[in-house]
Amino acid sequence: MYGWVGKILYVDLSKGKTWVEPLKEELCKKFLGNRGINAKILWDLVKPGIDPLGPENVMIFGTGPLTGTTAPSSGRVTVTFKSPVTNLYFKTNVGGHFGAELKFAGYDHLVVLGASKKPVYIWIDDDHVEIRDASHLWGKDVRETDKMIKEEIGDKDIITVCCGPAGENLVYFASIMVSVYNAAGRGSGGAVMGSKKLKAIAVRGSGQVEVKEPEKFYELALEVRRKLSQDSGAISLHLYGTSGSVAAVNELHAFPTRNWQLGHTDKIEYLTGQYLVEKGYLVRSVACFGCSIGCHRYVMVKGGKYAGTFTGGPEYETMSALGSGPEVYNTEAVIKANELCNILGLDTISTGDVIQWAMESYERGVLTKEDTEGIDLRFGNEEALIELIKKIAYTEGKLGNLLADGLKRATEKVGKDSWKWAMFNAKGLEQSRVDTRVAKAYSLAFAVNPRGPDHLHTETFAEFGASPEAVELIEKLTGDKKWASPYYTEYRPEIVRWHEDCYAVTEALGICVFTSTAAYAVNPANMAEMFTYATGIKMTEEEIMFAGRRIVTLEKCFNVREGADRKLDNLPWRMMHEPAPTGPGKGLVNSPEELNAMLDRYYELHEWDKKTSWPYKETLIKLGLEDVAKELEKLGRLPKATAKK
Amino acid sequence: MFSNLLSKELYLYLQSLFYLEFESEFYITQIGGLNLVEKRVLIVNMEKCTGCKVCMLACSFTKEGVFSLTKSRIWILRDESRSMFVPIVCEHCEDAPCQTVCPVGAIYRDQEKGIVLIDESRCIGCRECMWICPFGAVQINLEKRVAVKCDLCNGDPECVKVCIPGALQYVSAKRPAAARGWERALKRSKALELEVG
Repeated sequence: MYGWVGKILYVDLSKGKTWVEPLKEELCKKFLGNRGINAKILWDLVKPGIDPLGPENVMIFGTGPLTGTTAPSSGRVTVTFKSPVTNLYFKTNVGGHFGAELKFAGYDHLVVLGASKKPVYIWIDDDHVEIRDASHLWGKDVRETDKMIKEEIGDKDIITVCCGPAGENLVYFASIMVSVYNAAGRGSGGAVMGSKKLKAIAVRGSGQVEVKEPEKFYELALEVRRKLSQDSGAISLHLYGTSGSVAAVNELHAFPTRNWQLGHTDKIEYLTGQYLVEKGYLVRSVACFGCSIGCHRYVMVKGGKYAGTFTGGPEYETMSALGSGPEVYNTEAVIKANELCNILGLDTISTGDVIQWAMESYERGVLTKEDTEGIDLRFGNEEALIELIKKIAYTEGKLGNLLADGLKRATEKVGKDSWKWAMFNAKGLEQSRVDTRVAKAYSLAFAVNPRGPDHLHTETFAEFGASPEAVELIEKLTGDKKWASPYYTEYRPEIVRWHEDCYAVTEALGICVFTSTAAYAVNPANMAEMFTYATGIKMTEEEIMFAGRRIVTLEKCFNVREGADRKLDNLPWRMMHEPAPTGPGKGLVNSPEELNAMLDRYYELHEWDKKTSWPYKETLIKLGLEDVAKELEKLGRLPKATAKK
Repeated sequence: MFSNLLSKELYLYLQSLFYLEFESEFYITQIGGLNLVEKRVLIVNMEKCTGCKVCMLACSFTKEGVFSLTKSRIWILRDESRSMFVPIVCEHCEDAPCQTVCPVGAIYRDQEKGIVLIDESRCIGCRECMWICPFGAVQINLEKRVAVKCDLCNGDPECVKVCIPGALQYVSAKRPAAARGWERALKRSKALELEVG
């Protein structure tokens, strides 16, 4: 095979067995790879209604046909599983160097089944696969685990994936850490690893990836890389990271502050990527495998109270979640909080959302000093933030235990309408840091996201019209440049649909979405061409985008099979009922009426039933998902009405 | 490319402009593609390396026609928890220990281009050069059963062309440290808030 290496590695932790199966070409043509094939494997292996923290859950690590090649930013891995947070489909995409190493070891996908009784880690050394004892690693933080495995194997160049103490303690927002500081953060993959007693995966690959038309592929990849290196978005990402855009979002009053009560802060300076550079916190820009952007940060605090802190990040999301959200405007404290989340294996987005909710609850008197066990949980208390992160990761005390369950479960326990200021939607996931009230395509994308309200399934960055490329794209999608503004609700479903497909294709090929939906330098035509040269399977721009839609629909169907319907496609209460307090979008809200109108059009575009949001049988057949249609029909989860001709 | 038409001075001037525009050391060293006839050397600037390993892919592709990390002749060593990345590649030493130690005289120096080369037909794969290299820049290719190392792509190194952050630079051998000196100068002048350029 060209592009793919053609093998899937299965590891059954219950039986202690490992085996290899060939990757079928038919699967590759339909679902491309990475996120796409992962979704199909999950659909086939996970039965509806299972316990996500039980041995029936399956965890899949996937690389794509372009992983490990010179295609731009070709190091992305998708981890797919059923999430304990939402009880629904979950994929989380991560950079670092694991994907390429796994592929060079000879595997496109790694499927982890069952659960072990005692702590183990998986060691993959090309053809040699071993399940090793990890009792001595249990309880260790991410940095220590990485170091100990490297020492044990005796090779500093191997790549590790692991969960931190938070994952072991089944925290509902524990992350999977790749290459130490790259987080597959959302959906609590760390807890799924913890429930399987799988502490880590280590890999070393000495193989190779071959492409069908080497010369053409190499030339094209180089050309795309050059285009990317001149893109203003990419340059800014290299220099200032994702947090380079913090100030701009703050200007739009879309930067969530004080548990989303506000969208703007006057003290923004201390949270910007530019400040990290100016004050010398930034030591280096760091790249994932094969990436010429290098947006990842490595920072260090040399003096003061937090001297000796060093970590990857902080990213845009972290600056808001652990900075403006709890109103901590001390850069060094944010870096410390970020370091703790990274090494303890916590998702910074959810950690921030949970702590801010606790702070507002404390302010409102819903949580008392008795509940917080003496912690003065007011906004701006950086010691409380840092203390709480540790308590959550180790599920210590009453408050630590309450918050470690995530907002959905915590608000159920606390009651007293506390869900109204908790930033999670009907699916149960905490929202990522964009004020969707003043970004309408984002609001729709967040609502329909099968994971829950966040930007990592479909990011509709173009609606801001921040670059000429973005405006051009909006014109192409809607017919008029004027729609490149986040305050319109018109044409948002069209914009979301295009980005959904493009995002899915990008991830399915194994490259980074920053190249195609943040920088817009890599377009679907480029991706189709790279795919064709790499694999020898001819695919046009339209065909590859159609495959993207197939992937998106399959992901939707997984949720439908679990019992999801239209009621789950909503946003947190605060977004839907409290108008934006300040700024150019003052007074805007994601009202149920507004959202419903967009949802109707969105389902219509997908050819899904408006009442239930379920895909019609005809739609599934058109996408080549006959087996999926058959199974849903058996379960009675196909809409009664049929698609209009 | 139009860069072929530029004089060297003009190119360096443009390069310095580039520098100032982005106020950083990003994207400054793409000399690949310029047809300079003079002798040049590969210099490695560790501070700029982001650890992406694209140079390794470009190298294995150019030399072996496949993408592989083990078949590359340049290696990026990565200390992940400290995010420190060190490119390891043949330095083409003026007095090369590998050349001295080779028992069959397979390692020689192209004086004109300043490149240390291995004659694969004479190499017996004894690993002497591998042990003695102070950088660990020589490896044995187990398929060909000979020692392999960087040959600077015969004077047009591919790794330099793909290194967008500019950690790998291929510069004039007459004054290879000039670029490094300018980096310092610009940093200092910025710290002193002087207008230069």
